[in-house]
Amino acid sequence: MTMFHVVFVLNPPELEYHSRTQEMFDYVVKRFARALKYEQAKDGYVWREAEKIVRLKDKANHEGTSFADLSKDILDQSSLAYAISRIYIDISQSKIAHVFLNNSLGLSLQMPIITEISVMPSITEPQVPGLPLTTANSFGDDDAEEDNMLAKHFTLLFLEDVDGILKDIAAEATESSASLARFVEACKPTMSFLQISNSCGIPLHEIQVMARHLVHWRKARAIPPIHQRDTYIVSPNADLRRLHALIPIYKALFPTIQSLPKLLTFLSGKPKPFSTFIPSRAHRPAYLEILAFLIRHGLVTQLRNFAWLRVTKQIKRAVAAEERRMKKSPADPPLNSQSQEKEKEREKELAKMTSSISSLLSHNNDSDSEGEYEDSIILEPHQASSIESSWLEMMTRDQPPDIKALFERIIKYLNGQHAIEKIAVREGVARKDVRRVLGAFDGFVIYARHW
Amino acid sequence: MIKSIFYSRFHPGKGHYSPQSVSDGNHPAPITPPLPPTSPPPTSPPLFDFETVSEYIIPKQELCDRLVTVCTNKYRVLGYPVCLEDRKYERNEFIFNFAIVLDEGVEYSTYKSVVRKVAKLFKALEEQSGFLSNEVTAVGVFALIEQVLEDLNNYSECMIPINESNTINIKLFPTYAPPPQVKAFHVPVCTVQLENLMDVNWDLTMQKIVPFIDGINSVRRISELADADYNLTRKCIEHLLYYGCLVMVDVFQFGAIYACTAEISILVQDPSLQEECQAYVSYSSPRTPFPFLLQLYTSLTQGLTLKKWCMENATKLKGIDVRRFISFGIVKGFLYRSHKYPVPAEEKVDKASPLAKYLDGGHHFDEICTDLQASEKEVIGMFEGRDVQIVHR
Repeated sequence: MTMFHVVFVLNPPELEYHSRTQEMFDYVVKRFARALKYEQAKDGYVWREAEKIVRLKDKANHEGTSFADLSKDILDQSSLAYAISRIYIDISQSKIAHVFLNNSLGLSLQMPIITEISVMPSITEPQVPGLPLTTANSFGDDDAEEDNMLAKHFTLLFLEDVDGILKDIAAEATESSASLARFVEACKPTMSFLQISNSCGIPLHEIQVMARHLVHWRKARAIPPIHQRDTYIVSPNADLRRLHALIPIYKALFPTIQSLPKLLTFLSGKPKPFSTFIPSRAHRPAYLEILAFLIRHGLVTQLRNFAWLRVTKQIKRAVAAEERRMKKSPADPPLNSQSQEKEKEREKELAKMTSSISSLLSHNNDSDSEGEYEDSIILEPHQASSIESSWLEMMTRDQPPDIKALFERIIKYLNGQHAIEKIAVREGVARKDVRRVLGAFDGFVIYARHW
Repeated sequence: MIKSIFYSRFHPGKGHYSPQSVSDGNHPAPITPPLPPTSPPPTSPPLFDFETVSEYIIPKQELCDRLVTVCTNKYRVLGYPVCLEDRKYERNEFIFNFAIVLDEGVEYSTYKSVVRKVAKLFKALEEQSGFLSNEVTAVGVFALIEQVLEDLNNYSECMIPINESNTINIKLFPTYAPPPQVKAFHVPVCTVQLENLMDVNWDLTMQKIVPFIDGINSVRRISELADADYNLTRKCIEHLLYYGCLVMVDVFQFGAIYACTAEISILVQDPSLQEECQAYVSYSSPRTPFPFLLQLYTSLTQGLTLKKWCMENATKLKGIDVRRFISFGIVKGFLYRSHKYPVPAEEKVDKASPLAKYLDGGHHFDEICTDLQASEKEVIGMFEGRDVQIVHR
């Protein structure tokens, strides 16, 4: 045999033609053909199987067996035919296809599926209902993490029952099975990878690798850890048609707690921290398990806070007034004897002020000293321009130094792209301190709540 | 954008042979095999290697007279090989192919009909007058395909005369996605001036309903006001949606609940969108500054009806048209409507009752109220005896 060809026949919709064919080619066809090429080179596997199938067909031709019987025979006797049929059946249903070639090579093939979305489907752009809705980027959005590693502050939510997963791991015993099993048992959706690593002793890097493995094989999803202080709402993309099937499962798992629809009704009101729904401290573990169940089935999503800094007219006026004062009297002698450092500081401030005055004057059409100002939003406080920095400085002027220091640290999260919930975790600060700081700037912060 | 068009034929002496090819100005000529001496020699590397795919450009008879696409070197070659059998040819057959070269990832469904049309045209020409096999007339093919390439890339259409009795007429029609189903409770909002585009030749139902599409009436209401059949009205609206003349929003009511989506950050980062918002939403001359609008938008939350929200924010809403405020958010995607769904508290539902079909979790109150032409209070009254929970999502 000089050439063989595995042919996949597709009929994708017009507008998705190229992407579907490309996906099928990259993830299934290429890998399968490569595996067959390897086995053929090893001991002529493909040729042997092809001969076997041809012989079976000839025999059937002679004996006049029906086509149904013939196909059953071929599938029973030829592992190549069986592998091809498995791929067809499983991939067409978007499942994972496991094939076993030549009694030695096991291969698992899957087409990537969308596991979560961040843009809500609208009336004119319907999407698959039931997909989890979140903007939490599990690969971490700064360069602190390596490529393709799940962020250490995330955790895993298992999409299948843990017992089932452990059984699967036990069935395919390899060297890493033991630590994988230990990880799966230790992993709780309330603890981040970092915390799991600290508690059960498996190194963080290993945990991240195993977690990525589990996510790839669709056994779990990466989520920010669930906490009763966080707020959760009924997901706008929840598939309520599935409630019918989920109610009995829920009842079997949580017989003593109120029914699923009732719980969803409670979560439908004004968003409150999840702890307000937990009747007593003793109920907490059960309710957190319920929350994990709800998130797993895409019924509930976390409502996160995002913040922007707003500069009011008063601040702008005050800064402009101060600059005018500075400009008018730059040669004033210092009021009391000052050290050289203070002098230098003043000069620096003056220089900053004059440059911001010139930028102000060039921007504003009314260079009148009583010019009108409008409120505005600072888009990137971390990379504030000179005038924005002076506004920020004016906003923090009357605050105690510890609040000022913390504010400087968290300012980079206040651009509407980062959830406030993650500041405490990322910066290693207590949540109530973050709340205190943001409370001090209450008039200057605009919050948006979404997923 | 078409990268190149080329004409190739089977030459009995030279094998596969591509005598004419034209490329888009910025891209190099595609072919490696020998060109006739009149063509300029290729000065830059070819787009792809002709030899490797020549079997699919000039294929065996079985693949002829159908669309054959080959992807090679990140380019897609769309061809329609034609085979003409006649004793006058050497080897009794004449195979040719006018093929278009595009980037692999480009959406190409509109070009399929172009290739087919060109192939059929030249097949007819060849059968009538031997246009392609006659060496004299075949020379004009180069200028022809050059013109087609230029016109299709610049104007998306071309009309080129070949001789006194034949022209090439091609127009590229974009392929749109099929529209989602339009329901009775959807409210269409025009994005184009339909009255100006409409003329007496338009469909009668369409002419009747267009005056009532005002961004406030639901589809059901439009069909009632226009005295038109509901299904025909729905079809008309679906057509307008398909061509991008409309967007859909929900029925505006003060009992509705709205909340922000993750797209609100797009509004904050785009100053032109902010200008548009301020202009659309304020009705008196001092326009509300954007941060106040942002504050209002973000104060909308799940579980809070619009009525309560208006009452809470009465002072801040001076000079702002609430209906426009909400519909701007819905159309641009940074607000969403939180609908109420009745679900049975237990899994068993009394199948006999007329309301049973609404209790599967797929129908919200807007839909039920529109279908039954009843107010929300009345519908809740109808659900009284049964064990029904209302879930907002």
